Amino acid sequence: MGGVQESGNGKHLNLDLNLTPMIDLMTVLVTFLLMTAVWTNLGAMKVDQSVQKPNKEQQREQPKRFTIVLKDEGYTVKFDKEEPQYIRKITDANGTLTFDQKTLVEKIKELDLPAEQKVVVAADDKVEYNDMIGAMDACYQKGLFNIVVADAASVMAEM
Amino acid sequence: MSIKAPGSRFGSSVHMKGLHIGSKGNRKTLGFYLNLTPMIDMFTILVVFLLITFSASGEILMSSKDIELPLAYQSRPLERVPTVAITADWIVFEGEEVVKTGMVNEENMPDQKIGELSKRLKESQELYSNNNRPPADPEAKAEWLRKSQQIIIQADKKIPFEVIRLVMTTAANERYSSINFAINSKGDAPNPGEKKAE
Repeated sequence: MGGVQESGNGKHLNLDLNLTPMIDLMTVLVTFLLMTAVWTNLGAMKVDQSVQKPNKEQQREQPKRFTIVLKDEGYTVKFDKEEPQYIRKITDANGTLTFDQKTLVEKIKELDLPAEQKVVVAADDKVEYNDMIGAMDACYQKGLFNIVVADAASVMAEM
Repeated sequence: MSIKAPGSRFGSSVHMKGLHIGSKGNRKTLGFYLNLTPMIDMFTILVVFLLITFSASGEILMSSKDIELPLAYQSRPLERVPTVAITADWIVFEGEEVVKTGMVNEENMPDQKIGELSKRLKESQELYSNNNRPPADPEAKAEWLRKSQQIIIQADKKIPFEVIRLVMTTAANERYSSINFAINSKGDAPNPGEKKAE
């Protein structure tokens, strides 16, 4: 170890690269990166709950509304003035009743809604947060990001 | 027991210059060569992998053992804004326990408002306004306003919607109208080619 050495009459060159500093640096870097590594990939799902009064023009032409209601029995999906459709809960591999998110995704795909479509996700008070996120995720998967969250009772009264 | 002077140590007499048994006169020598190439290869790969996966977003939210976040395919990146964490026992605002989750229901809060949380949110909103004065430029002002309305809700997946709703209503009343639900990313959506959240 220790650089370039010329031996004898200078014809033979013995080249040794000192690897110790490199190994030291690598060890420190690996330790630092392992300590600061984040193994969970966190993200956010955004909803806008601002209450804005519609202007006169908006009042005149009511936008078509797409509503997903989460109740104990399953999803109730309604688009504009169409008849509401029910997506019942299914039994999963563990034998527990769960919301049928796959069918909901299919339903949203079928409707082929524009990206600016406003979606109301309304859940019953006893529905778990996980299931509400599941419904929002189904909308996100189909490119619908304009989501408002409401309670099921008030939305069902309007339907 | 008498104190003895230490004798010669094993380490100082061993030359780490290869580990081969050969004859040098009558004496057998030990030569020890450590091949460092595989170790350097492994280190290089490990450093590259860790640098690629390095992310600072995990610093935004402190993961708690009491909170199991829901999974979702699609999400947006997190921003550093005030956080309300909801566990099965407590509602925590910026690391401080505010109210017991069991107490949060419509019967106890007929005005749809969690009093203690409302107070903390108001203080936080005032602190933001005092520390960051609204800029004169309209675009910068819009960004300032957008950021002042952001809040993160980090809730356990089993929390009933009633609690989430009351927290959301309380936040919206205190001008935190843009609510971000923290989730754990599930990876790529089952239908590739779908639109991605910005």
